[in-house]
Amino acid sequence: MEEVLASESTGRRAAGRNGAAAIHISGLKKHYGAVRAVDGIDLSIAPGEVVALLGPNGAGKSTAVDMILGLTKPDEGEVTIFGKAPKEAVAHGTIGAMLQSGALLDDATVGEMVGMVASLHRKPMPVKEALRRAGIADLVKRRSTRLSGGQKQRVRYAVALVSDPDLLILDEPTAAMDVGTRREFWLSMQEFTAAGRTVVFATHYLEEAEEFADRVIFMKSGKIVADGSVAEVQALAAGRTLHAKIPGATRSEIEALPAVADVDVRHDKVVIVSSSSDTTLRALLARFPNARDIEIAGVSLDEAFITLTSNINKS
Amino acid sequence: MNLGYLGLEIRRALRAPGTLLFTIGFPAMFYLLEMMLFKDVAGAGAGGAGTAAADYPVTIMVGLCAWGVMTAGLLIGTRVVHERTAGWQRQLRLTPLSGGGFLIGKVTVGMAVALPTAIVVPVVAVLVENVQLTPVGWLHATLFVWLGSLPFAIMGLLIGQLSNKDNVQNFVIVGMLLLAMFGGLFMPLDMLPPWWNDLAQFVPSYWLAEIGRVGVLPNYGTIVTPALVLLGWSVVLAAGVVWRYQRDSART
Ligand SMILES: Nc1ncnc2c1ncn2[C@@H]1O[C@H](COP(=O)(O)OP(=O)(O)OP(=O)(O)O)[C@@H](O)[C@H]1O
Ligand SMILES: [Mg+2]
Repeated sequence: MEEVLASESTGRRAAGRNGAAAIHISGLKKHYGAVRAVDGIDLSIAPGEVVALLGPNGAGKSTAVDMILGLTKPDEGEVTIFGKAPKEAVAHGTIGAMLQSGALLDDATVGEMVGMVASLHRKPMPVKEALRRAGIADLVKRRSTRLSGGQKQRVRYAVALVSDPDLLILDEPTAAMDVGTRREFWLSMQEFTAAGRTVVFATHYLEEAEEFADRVIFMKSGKIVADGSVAEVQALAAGRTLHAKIPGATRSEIEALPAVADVDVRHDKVVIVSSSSDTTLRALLARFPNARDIEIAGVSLDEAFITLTSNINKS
Repeated sequence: MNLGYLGLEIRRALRAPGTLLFTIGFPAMFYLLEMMLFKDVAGAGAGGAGTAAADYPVTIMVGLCAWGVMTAGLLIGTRVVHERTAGWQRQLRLTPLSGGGFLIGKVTVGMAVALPTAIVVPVVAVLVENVQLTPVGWLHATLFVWLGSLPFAIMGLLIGQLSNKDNVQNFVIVGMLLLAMFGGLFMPLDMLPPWWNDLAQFVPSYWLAEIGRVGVLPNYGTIVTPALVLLGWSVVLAAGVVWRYQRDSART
């Protein structure tokens, strides 16, 4: 998989400021009884990267996030944050995180909660600033029981932000936000990343990944099944699948055709994922005049991932 | 951690329903009630001069002071369970707050909330029963008893870490009543059978009341033993809290 999609961006940018990756993970495993929540992950995220973590429910995203944050102890493997153990990074205020669930007190106001977290950090940003960036400056005095779902999310974002961290980890940050709020949220995020800081966010919204991440990691059953730059994924997403019957064609011959992103050959049945189906089709007809039953269909980002997933599982 | 953090925590604690009721309302009310109902009985009963029963108004004042500061500590449990259920503790673990810092913060808040008890009950005793003590006696009955709430604040914290939303109330209430009964906080121990006295030595609340008693009753021992016993309890319970904080990161 890494050969096809492991982004060159990973390798290129992995050497960060002090040479240490923002997040480096090797051989990470966490099993809960028979459930392999995280089943062997290797990963390096460079400083400044904005990475989307995608995957179906139960893929192991939150479990991985917990281990990155040092909240859960891995069964095997190691995580380092800017070269340090997660606990140390947390103690230095290097990581800010928005966890998937909860994290608000019923008996405190928005200002108090953000203030409490700020007062525990050594070099926090002013509480007001955090609230402004999260777009909730007007809610300082509001009790958390009187907040809407989307407002709660933004308070949690302010809590994550207030330590002025170098690395932000967000587990489904925009769940419960309406379209407008999500847009505002990501605008605020861009303010954060513009300063060269690193963001990893888990999401189920593929559009968010497409629009805001420069790298996409797809998890399934505790494993990373795809890892590539957004451009690569977009090529797949914008691309089409081309089905044809071509007696005698080999995999390598077809891979040699232009604009081919992925190939599946079974007997004489060929499935090609192409970033430009016209180009591929012309070349294919020229090269294999005996091709028949040709069908072309669009793929969604969803399907691209599924194609990717099944392909990778086979190889 | 800093004063801002503690201030916010104290505000939250005072806001919680029950806090002021248990730390000020009930101890003062029970004092008046006990004086009304039992003072004459106790005075006429067992003992004689120099026993706790003879000095009923003073003994009960110390006992209810102890009860109030102890309860303030145990109530930390309820708040901690709420924090855990809300996922707030997981968020705290993403700050530089260490296990030790967490312990100190919570205990400080618990003890700060207990402080009014150690003032209000003696004030009521003076106003209603005209209780008179030496300055050293007052120091024992107020400041020292208050300081003695330390292990109970830690105990409350540990209860909060080990219980859940459904059973925490039971742990706190039952614990509070058992400790009060066996520690002799509601009633002078020499009004009770001797075996009760022997048993009482094993409960920390006995030693908390003892801190007050040694200062206010004649012919009593020194503060050293009760102070050491309570310190011992504190150390053991604190070790439990820190151990638990480090491991308690599960999503709940
Ligand atoms: N504490 C736990 N005990 C037992 N199983 C667990 C525990 N935590 C997670 N799991 C299991 O591990 C798997 C991965 O869960 P995880 O929460 O990491 O998934 P996820 O990718 O975050 O899913 P979602 O998109 O629904 O948030 C799931 O099968 C889950 O049931
Ligand atoms: Mg999750």
